Amino acid sequence: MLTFLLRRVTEIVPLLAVISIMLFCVLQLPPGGPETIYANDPAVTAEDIARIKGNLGLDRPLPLQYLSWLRQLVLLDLGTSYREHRPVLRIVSERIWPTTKLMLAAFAFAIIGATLIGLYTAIHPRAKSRWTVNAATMLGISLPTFWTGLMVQLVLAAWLNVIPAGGMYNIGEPFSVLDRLHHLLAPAVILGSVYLAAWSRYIHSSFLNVFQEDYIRTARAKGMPEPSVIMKHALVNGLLPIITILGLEVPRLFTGAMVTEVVFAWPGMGRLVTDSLLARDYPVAMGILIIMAVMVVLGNLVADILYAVVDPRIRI
Amino acid sequence: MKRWIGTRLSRRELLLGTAAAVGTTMMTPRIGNSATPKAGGQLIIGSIQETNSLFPMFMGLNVGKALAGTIFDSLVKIDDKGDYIPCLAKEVPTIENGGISRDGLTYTLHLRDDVKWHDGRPLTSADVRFTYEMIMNKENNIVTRAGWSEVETVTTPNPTSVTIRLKHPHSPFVFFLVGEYGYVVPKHLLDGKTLNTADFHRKPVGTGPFVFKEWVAGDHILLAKNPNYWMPGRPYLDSILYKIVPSTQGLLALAQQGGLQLREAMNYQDQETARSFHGYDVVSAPSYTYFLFWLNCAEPGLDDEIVRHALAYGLDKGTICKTILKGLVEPSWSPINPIHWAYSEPSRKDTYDPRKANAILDAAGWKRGADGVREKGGKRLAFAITNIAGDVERLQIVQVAQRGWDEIGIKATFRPVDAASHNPNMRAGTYQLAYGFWFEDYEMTMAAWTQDPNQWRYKSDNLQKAIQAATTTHDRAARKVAYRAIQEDLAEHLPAIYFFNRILFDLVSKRVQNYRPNPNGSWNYWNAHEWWLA
Repeated sequence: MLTFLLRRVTEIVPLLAVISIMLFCVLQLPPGGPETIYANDPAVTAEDIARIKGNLGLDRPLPLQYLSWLRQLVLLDLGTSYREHRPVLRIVSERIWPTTKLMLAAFAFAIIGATLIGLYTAIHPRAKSRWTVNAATMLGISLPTFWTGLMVQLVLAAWLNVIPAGGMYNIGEPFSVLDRLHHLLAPAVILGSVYLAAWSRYIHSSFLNVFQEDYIRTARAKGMPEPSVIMKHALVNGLLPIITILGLEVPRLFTGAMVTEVVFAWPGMGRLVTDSLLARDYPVAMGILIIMAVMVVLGNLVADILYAVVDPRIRI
Repeated sequence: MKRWIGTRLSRRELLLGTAAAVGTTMMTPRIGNSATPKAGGQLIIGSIQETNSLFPMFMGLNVGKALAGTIFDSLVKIDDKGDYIPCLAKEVPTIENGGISRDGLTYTLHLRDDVKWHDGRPLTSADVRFTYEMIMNKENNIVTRAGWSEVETVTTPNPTSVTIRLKHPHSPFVFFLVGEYGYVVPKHLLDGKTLNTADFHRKPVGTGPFVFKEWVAGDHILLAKNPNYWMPGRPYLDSILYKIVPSTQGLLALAQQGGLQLREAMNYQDQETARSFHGYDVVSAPSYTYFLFWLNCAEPGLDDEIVRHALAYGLDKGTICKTILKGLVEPSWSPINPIHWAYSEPSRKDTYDPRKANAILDAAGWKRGADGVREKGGKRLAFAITNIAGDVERLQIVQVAQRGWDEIGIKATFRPVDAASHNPNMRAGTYQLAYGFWFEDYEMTMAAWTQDPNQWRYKSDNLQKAIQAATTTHDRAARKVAYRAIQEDLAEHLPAIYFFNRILFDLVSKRVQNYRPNPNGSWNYWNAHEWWLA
């Protein structure tokens, strides 16, 4: 295990370096720059823009700008936002918890729902309700979240007033778990339904395969009750593919979901990264994208380790 | 399904109301005139954008500049009727009251002596001088030094007097004592600090009617009443909650739930929907923002004035205004809004006339090629229209324009860009045709035209002389003559096709009293101290 970890770490560092250079270069490609936030003001002159660019170091050659950023990164400093004039780390730290909360709720909804649906359809492959379930999962995969989110907001918030239109809590009121959950419900379900639809199909296929295995046939032949067969033997093995998927989705706990956050006014990382890209706020964009890259790499590593833990046949 | 039945504002009423605003007041006031203001309550404002900072000189967005008007006071204000009113300065400096010297070079301001910062310290002239020095310090990433770059010295003879000496006469200078140009910041909190990254960006301290309380990034900004405001009995409101909702649908849904009392600058589709909301009014107000087609006069083909006029003759502004813009606006012919004193109707208006467009192009030797596109001397009249992507209304307008120009032998293709790169394209001159909005400041300094090169790459000595004349004398009659010359020059040589003046639609709860929007949208909260909830 130790050798495996050391090998992976030596691979990760140069990989992240290459990713950071590519990200830095790609961010420079779109026209305009951080000073564009001021370009709409007729009073802002070319001299004002040149002064701002100079102060921000944007008139230096790109390799020098990259090296400055890298020097700060080594010291675990993601730099200062051009737009908000404060440390990127502070900006990111304000948005991470709302995002993590939303994504954890969405994942929990998706995992539980997908397991129940996938298991049910695998146990009852010929049930008539399977068609309804299949249609629902296809809709869940096909319908874009911006549409479902807007429809839910229009009907349940604007027309029926049973859910809040957006936000994380009722501002100015004392802390209430119920209030927090009330605000979390719609965005988490909308976001989670996409994952639920896709994951239920993985789980369904996985369980179908597991039910064909010799150890399941043996357990049944020994007279074990079916619920025990499923819970003791089939469940963990049937969920193995989801472990891989969850490992790949770990970065989303921190990167959020832009569309859902915009529709439900959720102040998360998804909106932050989009706003920073549109405003050409390079330090914030680079900071978040590098965090995402690290999360993806670490997520894959965690998935590999978890596989070995769950399945003793796998040696690392 | 519930259907909300609320007040409706018909198009006819809207246009008549807007027309009545011309030459009289700036807008139909939202005032409960006969009622006695009630103290208390929280006003919730919904906004699609979040300001980047609450440090006035570092703000890049109008939403921030407007909000700053609740936390900070400026030396002078402009009300909704377009009149200068005193604020931190006891009176608006004029030549008549001696606040401006006869040669127009020296401005003397007498500050109120009863103003305190939110931390209790008194405001003095030293704060004004500090603010000026901070703006002029090259190390500070101040957005603009507009107005203050005309200043030679700022002296403070005593704690309540400020003397500003200009390098040369500049009649619009009083305008730079207003709003985002004229806010004063506290020397005792900022002197010696690194202002580019100071906490002041997120925790401002001003002298305004509201005190900053809380800013949850991406969610809301909360302001509380300033109990020690220098205007007795003001503000009426206990607090203002500025809620950030980054989608128009979300804002409409929040309004339908009664979750906000004010939402500014709705787009034209949303204002139609919002008219049916129970408990709300749609308030319209003119603005100094206008939509136009930029014509890059340095571009081959567009450097020919005949071609520019042909483009104007080929653009059916009237039909676009009636259809896509739902009859809510009328075509315009000048960068100056007719509600402004400096407006003069241009003697030349290139109204839609494709036959005339074809005739003048033919006469000038622009012949149609095999593909129908006109050419002359190796130049082809084929241009790309730069336009902000994702806006349906703008796309529809550009599509209609494209069709009209196609009929007169001018080929136009689309070049969609994101919002962040649109105006930089204009400044850099990296466009051929472009569609979008621009605006002039209240004093019509025509700042964009005086930059060299300007966005239109248009050179005219007559224009520069007229702008110089308009911004040097304090004689309004003489200024009006100069502005007429400016508008005639622009209409004659057409570096831009002016399209329409934007009308702003604000969704206002019927409970909100005394909301009086300003044609300069960044000062919409100029009288926030007088807002109250019925």
